[in-house]
Amino acid sequence: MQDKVIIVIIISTIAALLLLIVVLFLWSIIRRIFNERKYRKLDHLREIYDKKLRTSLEAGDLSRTQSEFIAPPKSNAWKAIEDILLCLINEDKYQDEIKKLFSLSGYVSFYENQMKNRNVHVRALSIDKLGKMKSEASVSKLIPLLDEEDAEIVSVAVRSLSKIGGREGLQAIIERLDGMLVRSIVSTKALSMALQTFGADAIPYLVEQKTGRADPWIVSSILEILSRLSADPRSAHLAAEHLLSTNSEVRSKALKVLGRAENVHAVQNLPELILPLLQDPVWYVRLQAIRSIRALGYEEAAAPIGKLIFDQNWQVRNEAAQALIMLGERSLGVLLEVLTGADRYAKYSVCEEIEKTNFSARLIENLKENDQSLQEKSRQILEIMHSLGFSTPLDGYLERGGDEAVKELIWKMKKTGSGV
Amino acid sequence: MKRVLIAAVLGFNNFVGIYFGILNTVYSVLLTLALFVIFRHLRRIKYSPHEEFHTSPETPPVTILIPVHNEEKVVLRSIRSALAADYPFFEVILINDGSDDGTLQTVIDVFRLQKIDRVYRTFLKTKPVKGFYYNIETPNLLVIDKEKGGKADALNCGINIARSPYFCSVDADSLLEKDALIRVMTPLLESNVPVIASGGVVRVLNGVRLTDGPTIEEIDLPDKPLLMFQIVEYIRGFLFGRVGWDTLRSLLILSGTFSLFHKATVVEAGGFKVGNVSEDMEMVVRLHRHMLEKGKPYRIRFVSDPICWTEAPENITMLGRQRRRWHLGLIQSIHENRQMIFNPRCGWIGMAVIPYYIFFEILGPIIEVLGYVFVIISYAIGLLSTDFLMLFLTLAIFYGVFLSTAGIFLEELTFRRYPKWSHLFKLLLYGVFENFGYRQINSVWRFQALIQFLTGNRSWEHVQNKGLEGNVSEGVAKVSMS
Repeated sequence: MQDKVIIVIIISTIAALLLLIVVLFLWSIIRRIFNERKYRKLDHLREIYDKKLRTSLEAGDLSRTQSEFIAPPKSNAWKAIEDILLCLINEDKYQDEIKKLFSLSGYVSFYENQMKNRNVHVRALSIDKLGKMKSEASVSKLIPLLDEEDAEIVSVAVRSLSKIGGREGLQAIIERLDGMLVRSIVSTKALSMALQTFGADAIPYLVEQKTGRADPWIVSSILEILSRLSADPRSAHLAAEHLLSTNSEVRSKALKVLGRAENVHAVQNLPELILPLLQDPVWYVRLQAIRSIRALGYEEAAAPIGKLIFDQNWQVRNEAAQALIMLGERSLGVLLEVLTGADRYAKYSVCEEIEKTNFSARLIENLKENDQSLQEKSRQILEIMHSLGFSTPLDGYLERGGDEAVKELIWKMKKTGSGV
Repeated sequence: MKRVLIAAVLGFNNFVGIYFGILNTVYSVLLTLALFVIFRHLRRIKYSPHEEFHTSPETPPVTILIPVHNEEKVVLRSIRSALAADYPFFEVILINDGSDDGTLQTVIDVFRLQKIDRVYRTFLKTKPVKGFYYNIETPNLLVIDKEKGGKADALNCGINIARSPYFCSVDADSLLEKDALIRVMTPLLESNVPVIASGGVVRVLNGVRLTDGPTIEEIDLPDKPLLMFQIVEYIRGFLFGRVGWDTLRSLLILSGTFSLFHKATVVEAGGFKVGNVSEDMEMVVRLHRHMLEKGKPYRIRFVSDPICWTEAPENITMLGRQRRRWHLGLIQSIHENRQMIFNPRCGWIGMAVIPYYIFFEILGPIIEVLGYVFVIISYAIGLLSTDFLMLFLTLAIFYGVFLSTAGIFLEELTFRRYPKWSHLFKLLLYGVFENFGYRQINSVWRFQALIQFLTGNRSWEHVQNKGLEGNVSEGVAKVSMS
């Protein structure tokens, strides 16, 4: 009896599996046939509407022909027209006409209705489409979505508002910024990306948003976003206010905002404000301080940056070496000081950066210089590099270089360890 | 005596019934989850921002690490494919792991590289580096020449030099699709929990026509049945196995052929383990352990749309070597991280996932082989009727065919990389055929791997691939590291 039951179970399972196999098999085939027909039609329609639309747009008579671009929702023609319009909207010259056509052809109202759908994917797709259509009329309907709990909906709404642009959407996002960040509903990266599309328009709102905020994480996120936007005196002032924050993330992000050449005159005594941070107890603040000074091209910083070549953190040491090389001849003295010092690690870092940035070529060129001090410092640096095994640039010049006097000097350096 | 034998046989038969019942239930759950997740992914992809990430400064830089050992025939294809990646900021580091053919010279000549002096900082200990090669005209390519130390050692060497916060390991006999890198990075950019590793789909390159670019000119299927079986197997394994495990937040395996890692976390965890025959798998298990022990939130993700094409072994000897090595790697990885087994600190991974891998993946081949033996004994002592035996076999085969068909169905729903009608029918047909011999021989290889582990024979078995180049399959044999 028990065996019979087992046999019945096995046979039923086999039958069920067979049925499932047949269903999957047929489904695959039917789906393929259906899709082939559908996409063939769609491609054909896209071709037709692309031609028609471009002709109308170029002739400037879209208002007369717009009825040709109205199709029943979800039909193949509707999809084909939508695809073409979404492509054309990115061409600046047609943007206004296309926006109007999206509205007149019923796409905007269709997707606004779809936003009420219970299915989160349908809603998200509709929100995304409205953003791509740059539907300014939908902004007021998109803003309430920023207060929803569903991360997917909020993320897409932020993106769509940023694609549409305009102050209303921007203000709405910024007003909710800390809420969204605290609730971890949208990643900082996603928010930052969205706000960047608003460009400089976002700056005043972000700067104001900060006022009175105590949470260092929010402040650092706002500073991070500002650092991605174009340089602006208001951002620079806000960052300068936070240079002495007790939170290292905030100090680092403030430095990042300030580290642009355009900020040199935006904040009074800016280099002096940044210089003390080269001694910050936190390594990534020191790192950012070097980067900012480098970007600001502050020559007088060569000596304090030189000290960081001996920093305990390798990223800081590397950055310091790079910064010194970027400062060029002005830092030759500091470079020489490092290379004649006892710290082998620091010496190697400097040699490596000199080679990588091709500064070695400039040092070799300096061997022809009339300026004796410059020539001597360059020669000494190259000689030390050679003694540390960084001889490739010298070998390269011997092979391909043009100046016989310089070659002679290099030969001597290589032979005796000295060009003198 | 006979009574004892009968009791033992009956007991084992019941055990096998329950064992395969549980195993097939797990597979069915994974399949159901995969169906659900892939449908969801397909809907999400319509409004996914991955295209915006292409141009965003928020997209973090990535270093592509390509370890090579005697890959003269394919190394250029591999570098060019990596350099062609559609990604905002990336560098390619090729690590020549003591090749004794013309691999290094080929790269130097073609990319006109010059030897440069660089300081080599060993955050992870490796075999000595012999030289660095660079050309300012291809600023995001660096070649490291080092003494032979194996793939793990080569990867560690690349990590020591890599500047980006993330690195992607790619095998030399593989080809990345242009948008694979940005797609594998997407979960990381969208997630609020740190994603420390992420992997994509690996497909079989054999049969695919390539342009000189190298990009894929035309996807076709190979004629060799052994390759067809592997294609069906890869589709099934990646499209429902990994997707299912990812949904359960239980991924223990990311393919070393194409995986992205957070560099600092890998360095913190000690880098790739030299001596393990499957360093990628061991790394993922150790990353879980590292993060769980530290109590830090993290995710390890699998994404089903980034694709990397790789060469598959074309003959049975090489395939056997590869499969033994994979299984041995799994056993080694779990053995080396055995502290995780039933360790409450390791949560779901320690309490359920690793035990599952031990009982069902590692010991599965023993149960299967013993099952065949007990079927014969049961039949011999009259405990099993022919009808019952045939029914049981039919059930096993139908379930296998169902899983393969479901995998192909998922492929059809999602990426449809095999567009011709003949492709669909061929795949479905091989989904049936693989249940007659191919699966069984796989179990034998896995069984051999277990024996190798128990007997202490844990050496790396080299797999010779053909080195597909240009239009298809003419090439010189090479020793692959993958």
